[in-house]
Amino acid sequence: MADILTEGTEELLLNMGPQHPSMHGVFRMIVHLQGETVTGIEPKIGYLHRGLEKLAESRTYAQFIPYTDRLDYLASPHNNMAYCQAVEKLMGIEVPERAEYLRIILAELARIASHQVFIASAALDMAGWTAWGYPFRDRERILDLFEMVSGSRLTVNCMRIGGISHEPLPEFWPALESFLADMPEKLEEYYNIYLGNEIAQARMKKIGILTKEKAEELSITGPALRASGVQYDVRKAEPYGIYDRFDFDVPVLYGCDTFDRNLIRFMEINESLKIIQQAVRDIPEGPIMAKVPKVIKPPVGEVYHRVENPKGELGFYIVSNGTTKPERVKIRSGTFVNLQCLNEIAVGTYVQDLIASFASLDAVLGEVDK
Amino acid sequence: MDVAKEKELREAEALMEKNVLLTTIDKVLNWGRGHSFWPVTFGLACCAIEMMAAGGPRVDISRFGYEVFRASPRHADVMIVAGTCTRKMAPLLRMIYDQMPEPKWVIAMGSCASAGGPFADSYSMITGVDKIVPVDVYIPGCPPRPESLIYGLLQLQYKVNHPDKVRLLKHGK
Amino acid sequence: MGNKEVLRKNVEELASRVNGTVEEMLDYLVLTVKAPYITETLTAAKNFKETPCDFLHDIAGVDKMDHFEVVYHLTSLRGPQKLRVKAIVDRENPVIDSVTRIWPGANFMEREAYDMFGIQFKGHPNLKRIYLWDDFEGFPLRKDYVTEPPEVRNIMRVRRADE
Repeated sequence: MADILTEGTEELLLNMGPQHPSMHGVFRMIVHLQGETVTGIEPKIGYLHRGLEKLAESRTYAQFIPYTDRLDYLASPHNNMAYCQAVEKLMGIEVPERAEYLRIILAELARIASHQVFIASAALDMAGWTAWGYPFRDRERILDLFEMVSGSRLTVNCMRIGGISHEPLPEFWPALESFLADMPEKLEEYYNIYLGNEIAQARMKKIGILTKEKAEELSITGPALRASGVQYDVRKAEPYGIYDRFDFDVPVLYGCDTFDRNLIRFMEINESLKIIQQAVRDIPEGPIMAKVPKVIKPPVGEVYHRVENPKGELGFYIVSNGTTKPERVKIRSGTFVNLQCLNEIAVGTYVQDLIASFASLDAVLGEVDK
Repeated sequence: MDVAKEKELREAEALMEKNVLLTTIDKVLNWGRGHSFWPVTFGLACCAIEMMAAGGPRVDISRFGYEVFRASPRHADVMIVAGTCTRKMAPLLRMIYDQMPEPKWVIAMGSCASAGGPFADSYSMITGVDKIVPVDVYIPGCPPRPESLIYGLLQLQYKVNHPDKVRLLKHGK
Repeated sequence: MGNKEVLRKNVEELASRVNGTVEEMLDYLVLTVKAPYITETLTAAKNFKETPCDFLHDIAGVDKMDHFEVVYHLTSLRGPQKLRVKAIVDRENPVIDSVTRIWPGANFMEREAYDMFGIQFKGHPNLKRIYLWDDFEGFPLRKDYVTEPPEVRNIMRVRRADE
């Protein structure tokens, strides 16, 4: 049967160009096809390359914080936190308790918002229009919470070197409580319209297999690694901030396929809700900003700090030469390294499976292209 | 109270009671075009997420008639450039613009598309998308709220419905 | 002995074999070697007894004014060990061995270092530019690169036939 299908076919090069209806941004793939079977993929990136690392060398340490927002723009408090913690490690600054708790609340809210956009766009790639609208409706509540802390919905610029910039408005706490109370049933709803659907399950199970050995060799991190059977989370392996005081599990699945990469994000939203509840219960009163010198001049040295971004591991390698501007800032973004597994998971399958598998990797081009 | 205008309105009202409307073809066509723009999906970066949120349930672009985002530029009439346009992407932006049929308009959403944004002095950026395509409406913000995007679209609707006012401004008369 | 002491012992033993220096910076052990020894160093680090550093996080290029440095960050998925290996590369003729044979995940990371600095990685399967377009002249992250003024940057470049 296979001979009849491939006899008389030539290799076709299909360009899934930078402008396309999927919601992932300006990503381009050249797909080598034999009939409908994929035989090779060349990802071509760089259409959103803004030169952040060169810009960092002409801005001061505090002026670079808004640029880190625009890396993974779906979870911007997280990127801020990674950069600020890296500089604080370099300078030896200790952040007050209330600021640490607030940082964790914002970071976990960002994780939930990012996973909601993932559910929406993964469903949209498979033409599930209903499942696009529901997460966006609930994400608006998280964006309202961000607005109460920093004034901006998407690119919050609320973390500073030494703490948080503003105290949240008094309406923040009741709104957060009602959001936490409503979320579990909304999660049920998302499952029923997206993952519980038979068609979605048939399209995603046993597709896009990424084995454990390959995942470790290709330096994959984040939910894609945890869906392949490796229980590794930076929040448990090398705790940053005050994550070691919270009680949460790291979910792990052993299916290694696209369905598991989707399901594990549902489980992570549950864990994030637990962490936020514990933080709201334990948050103390106090200052939100440490005593930091007016001009930030770290000593000569270098630091590599990593956090668990919703998409993978985000690392900042900062080399300082004692002046007010950094000598080198290297951004290790999770999705950039995760894109290397495209050849592994999609070669040998059909074009529609390629779309579903690529959606499960959750690529955000701001992070890939810096 | 302008006497001539008052007379015109009263005559139009009398005709409307008999279900008759007098107008010009241009006005009808402009009314139709302005109330149903079909944008082409050109979301590049963070502004694209706010554009998607504008199409979402809370801020609904569909109540104005603009929710039909077409993937192919041949079906579209407005191009909302939402996000950062780099030097690598610029020729492709021009290619998509050229493929759109007339009449077509361009909205530059966000500060990166209007003037290069915070990245204007980077080696890989162009300072604003109006160096490549002619822009009709600029929406500042980083990213602009979805309500700002709707205000920008309504300004474009005003521009389409009143081409005489815009032409006066453009040629300096 | 604790994990840190075993790792330090292993690293010092390795340093004496490859003429490298060991120091400690903010709780990371840093091993500095010269470029020709890098394959031997990294293979040995991946196979350390009791504290193997077998997960590659990042390959970064740094431009110190008189030489380049290629920095490898290694940890492990099964233990708390962390190691940073720096390779000193000559600035006039920057060539270093590629580590894609040890870790296939170094593919994109080395292409990025080539794109930004011009460091040639010998043995890389596909060493082309990744972020910038293929006809771009110069290597942006070098300290002596001068950004072009906006009048030059705003000229739309001519698209090649295969783009």
